[in-house]
Amino acid sequence: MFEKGLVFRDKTLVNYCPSCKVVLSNEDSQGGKCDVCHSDIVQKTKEVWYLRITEYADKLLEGLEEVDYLPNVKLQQQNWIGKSTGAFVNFTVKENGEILRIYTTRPDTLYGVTFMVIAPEHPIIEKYRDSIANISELDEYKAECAKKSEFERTQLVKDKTGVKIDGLTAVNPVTGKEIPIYISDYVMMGYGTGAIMAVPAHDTRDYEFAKKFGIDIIEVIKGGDISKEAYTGDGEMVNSGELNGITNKKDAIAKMLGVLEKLGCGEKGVQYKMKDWAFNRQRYWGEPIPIVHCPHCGIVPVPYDELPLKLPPVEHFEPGTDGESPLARIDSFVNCKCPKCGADAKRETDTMPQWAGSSWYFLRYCDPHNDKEFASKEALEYWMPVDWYNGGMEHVTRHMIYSRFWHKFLYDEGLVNTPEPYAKRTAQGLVLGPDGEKMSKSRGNVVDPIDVIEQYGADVLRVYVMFMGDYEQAAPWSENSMKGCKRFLDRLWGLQDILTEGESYSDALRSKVHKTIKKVTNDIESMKFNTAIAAMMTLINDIYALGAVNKAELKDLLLILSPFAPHITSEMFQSIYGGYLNEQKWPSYDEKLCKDDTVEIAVQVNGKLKAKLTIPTDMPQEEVLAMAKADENVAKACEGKTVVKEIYVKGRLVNLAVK
Amino acid sequence: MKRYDFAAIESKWQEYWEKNKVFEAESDRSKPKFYALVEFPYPSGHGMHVGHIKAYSSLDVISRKRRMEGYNVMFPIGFDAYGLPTENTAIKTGVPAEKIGIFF
Repeated sequence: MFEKGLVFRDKTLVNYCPSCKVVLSNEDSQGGKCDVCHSDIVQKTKEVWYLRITEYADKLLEGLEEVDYLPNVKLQQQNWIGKSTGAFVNFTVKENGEILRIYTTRPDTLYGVTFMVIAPEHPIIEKYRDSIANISELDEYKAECAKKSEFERTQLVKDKTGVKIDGLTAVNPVTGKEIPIYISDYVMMGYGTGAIMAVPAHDTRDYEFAKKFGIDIIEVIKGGDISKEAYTGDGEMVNSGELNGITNKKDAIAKMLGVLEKLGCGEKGVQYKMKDWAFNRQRYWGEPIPIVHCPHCGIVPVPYDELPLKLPPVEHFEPGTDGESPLARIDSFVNCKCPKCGADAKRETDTMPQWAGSSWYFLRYCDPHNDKEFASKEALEYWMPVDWYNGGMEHVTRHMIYSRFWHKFLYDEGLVNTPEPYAKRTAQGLVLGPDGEKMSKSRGNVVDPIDVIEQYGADVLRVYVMFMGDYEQAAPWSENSMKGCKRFLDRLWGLQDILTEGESYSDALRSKVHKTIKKVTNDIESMKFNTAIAAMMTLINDIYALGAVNKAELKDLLLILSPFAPHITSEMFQSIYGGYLNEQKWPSYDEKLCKDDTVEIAVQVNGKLKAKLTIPTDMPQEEVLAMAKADENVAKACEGKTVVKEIYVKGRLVNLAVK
Repeated sequence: MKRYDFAAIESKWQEYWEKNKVFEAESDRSKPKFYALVEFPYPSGHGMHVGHIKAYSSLDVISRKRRMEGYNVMFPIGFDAYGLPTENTAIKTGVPAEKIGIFF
């Protein structure tokens, strides 16, 4: 990655966790909290390593087209990457000719730009501090901002604050009008260009800001009442020169892009919300970053034949208090020769974050004993991609996005055979405490699986956890429901008392067994474990109602239940049939025998439910309609009226429209 | 019929499966393959609860079905021993990071 220009070092404002004493990436600090310890993060200026994940933003988006992820997983990744198209526009500073470059998704509203906002840390302030009359006021504001986290600055709903720069004025490139420049905390250097254009008539945040500071508000899109609030909808362009009269946003943007290009002060552009990946920890426990700092050659990678660079053994691995890695205290590790010129040099002492290992661990499993390469081409070709990856939603905009990036890089280098690491991604819903709240130690509602296994056994725990509701939904723990699952397995065990000989299904159960096999087979694939188990419970009820089960029927019931309750089914299989259940094949079913003989349909008159009928599944339409109209309630509803339309949705409902 | 003694029966089968490597992925590449994966727990066991059982049981159910359908299944499990979560446990307990997961 270093050789391909995907690794760089930059001194910027970074997210820092004062408790873990490490720099965190944006993915690590979502919601302004440290992902690991949940402390509030602060901003700190530091020189850190980055991986250029933004280079792969488009590939990460495009790749989502070819994988089978839950819709919500895709959406979260798309939102995190946050691709937008718009324009870069150059505003000139009147006093010194400097260019303030901004990015906007709404170049169509340029005629409505009445002020600009730049980040308090913007370098133009430092550069021209002598010509800024209120520089001390700006300095004070900047110092206040430094105390706030990025989250506080950009996300929290609060009063708009800011300071007008007295001594710098911008020029709107399309109107030629002079407009004031403000600093405000919600504009960050690390996001976009550190400067924005403001269109108060059509942006809520800009509107509040303009109202507070008494700035002009110019309407450029008709449709609202800008004396009351910003109008953010679409409409006809006004007060916009050559754009006047255009009524749709797309055309207005296209026209403005042409204007900008003609004026030479802007062009079409693409931006991503996702930023490059801050890739380092000031910690001991991580892969050392294989880089040497040479006073003559600069940043030099450790040669391939010295890789992997291993962690030195240490006694004290506590992090330093100054944001420096504990490795920096180990002279024998730090001091080395430059691989290029041989001069005395120092090793990089930051280590890789935990996301490094998890970005490729699944590749190594394909060929874990290979001492030549991370996995042979043959092993990768056979095993990859991961067919089904299941996990928590919290990983979607962290581990999932990082590992897809690494994988795509490896693919571009020809080192893996698939462009995507995971063919399918699903996620489970939370298991809540018995009180319906999220399990946590402080609430005292954590259920320990070991306790459950000791009291009820692993099979009961497995069956219950799979039975407790829609797999993707959160569900509260219920001791009663778990006891129901225990009863289910006890009743399965009890079937041995009513077991009869038989090499094929009995007439009484044939259709039921086929249907149950079909349901379990399909439901497992769509993760509807709860309904699969319910179907097997129903079958056992049917068997008890009948009073007997034969060996052929029980055998297939054991087989389809075995993935859920492998112990009890293996034991029963061995004692009844001999041999091992795990060597058996998954049973098949006959589609013809799975059809329901009868089906219940609803009968509506003018959309209102009037009757429910049980009919043979294959009853022809004319007969169904005749039967529906013959029903007492339906006949009453139709009395004295004319049936104008008759609809039959096969196996579901009849609707009669009457006048 | 004797009572269902789950404790004895469950440990009997766990021993059998482990001893006979019933769930080991095979090197036979003529079979269709199925690679299932879950996010591993931390070696400290920190935060381990029944939610993990839900996350892992689902793919275990699917993997067992796939084996019966003739697939060569790889469904690894292990510890996520990387980085901060493990190191924070190490600092808290004084146990070296590389040994966490052995003692916990």
